[in-house]
Amino acid sequence: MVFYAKVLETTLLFTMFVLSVYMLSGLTGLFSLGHGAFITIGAYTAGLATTRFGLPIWLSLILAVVVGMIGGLIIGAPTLKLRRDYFLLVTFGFGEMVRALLLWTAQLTGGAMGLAGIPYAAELPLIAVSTLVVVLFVANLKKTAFGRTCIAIRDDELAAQAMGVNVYAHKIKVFLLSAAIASYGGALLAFNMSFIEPNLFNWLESAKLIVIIFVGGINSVTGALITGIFYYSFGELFRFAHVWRDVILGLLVILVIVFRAQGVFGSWEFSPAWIRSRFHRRPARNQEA
Amino acid sequence: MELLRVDSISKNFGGVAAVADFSMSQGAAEISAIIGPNGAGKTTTFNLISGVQTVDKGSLRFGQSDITRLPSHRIQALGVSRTFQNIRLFDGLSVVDNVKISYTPQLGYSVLDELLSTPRVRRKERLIEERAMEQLAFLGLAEHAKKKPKSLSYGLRRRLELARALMPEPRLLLLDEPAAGLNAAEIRELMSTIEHIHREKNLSVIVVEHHMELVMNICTRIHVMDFGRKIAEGTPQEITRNEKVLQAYLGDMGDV
Repeated sequence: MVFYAKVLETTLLFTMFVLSVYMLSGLTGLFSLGHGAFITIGAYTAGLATTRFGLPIWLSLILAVVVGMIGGLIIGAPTLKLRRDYFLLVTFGFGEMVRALLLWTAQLTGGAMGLAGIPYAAELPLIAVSTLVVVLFVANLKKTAFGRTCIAIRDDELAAQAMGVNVYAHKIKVFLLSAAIASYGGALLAFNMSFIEPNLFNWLESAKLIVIIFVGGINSVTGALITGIFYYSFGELFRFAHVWRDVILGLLVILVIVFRAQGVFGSWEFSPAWIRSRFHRRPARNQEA
Repeated sequence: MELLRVDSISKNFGGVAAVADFSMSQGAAEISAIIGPNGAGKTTTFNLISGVQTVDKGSLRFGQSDITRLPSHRIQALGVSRTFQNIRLFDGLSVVDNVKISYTPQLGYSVLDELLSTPRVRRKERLIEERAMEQLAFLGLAEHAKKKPKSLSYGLRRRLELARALMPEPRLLLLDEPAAGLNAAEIRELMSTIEHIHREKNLSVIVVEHHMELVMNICTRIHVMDFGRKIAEGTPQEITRNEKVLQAYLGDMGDV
């Protein structure tokens, strides 16, 4: 049972990362290979705040989010004006920079030896509630003007700007929100694992988050959510399959991209309205019969 | 009353002068046209007025504001709205959501409101939905509201762009080749729509157009461009008699 609880905790945490990238890459079409940097920043801020400075858990969580957002602003403000391919390269560099910085400041961070002894404070209830809140946040944003504006920017930046959208300001908002979610999740990850090291979340892991979103469908939060849960629990539960695990997953990804470019879930969303529509259809069928 | 004042604007791309020393004045309830052969700089002029590109020289005034160096979203907020020659709709959004985009800046609620989906947001979302649906109904698109733009016919997509441009209640509407790709019946429909909008909403319209029937019928003033410069200006009657215009533009049409 402990094993399954652990799998669930990890899965939910990683799902939170998927959602943070969903806003950035799925909704707004900005690709970041350095998203793991925010997770790492969040984890280290929380870890250092508790082990080195003796701050309480709740304050460390807030601090992690604040530091993550400051990092987002520093890297986002100059680069979000660039073309998207350059943005991708810069975020990649940012991820490597954060890693190098952690190794370099070994006296404080423990460097390559990692940081141990972080209090085990993030158990299943806290993680589950946090993930649920993030899901609701992202779903709310997608439904309203914020999400529409994201999609407009993704589809045609020039037209969006001509229709009155302040493209740059909106990209900054998205990037900061995404960084905030990632660093909050990173802090929870630190409190869950008790030990962190600079390679906690490298660029390959960041790239996986983007792949998951494309497999799920860039127009569906539900898709990102379910695909994320599936991928990360699959990874944990099928450990016995060793290398074949990655081969199977790789094959699945290729099949989806080739045969269903809009992603498994297309633009379908799970919602109360959808459930209601399921129930309302039944009586109608009975009448026909 | 003067609404838009374009004062000898120029724009170069590399060594090519796309627009050179172009000036025009547009009244608050006027329908005018910019015509000229392909590559004359008409669309660039639109891009300069709407702030999609910035001028190299010259100045632009809209109402009381100097808009020469403003980015396009600020110019839109002042009341300049436009359509595009090569339709630029947001394919990831439904028809009704496409229309809502151009009204977003006026909503005025914060990200925090939206995260929590507060009653204020829900009320405003209902309001904007109503407005967008009215706009769609006005242009006969109401039944397509939930579809994606890609599933509409070309003519309907053009009309959707018009609906999107009208949503923020602009004072000046820039239509970039609204008749391109439409058949004769659709063009007649478009003409009556433009005249209807002009009467109903009392707004100022500039069209860039190749279709002479449309230009001659609905516009009161015509500016003719060739190689980035303005070669003539006047009423439709004056333009049809102008030597230079016949040479540069209508002359070409005569050869066809």
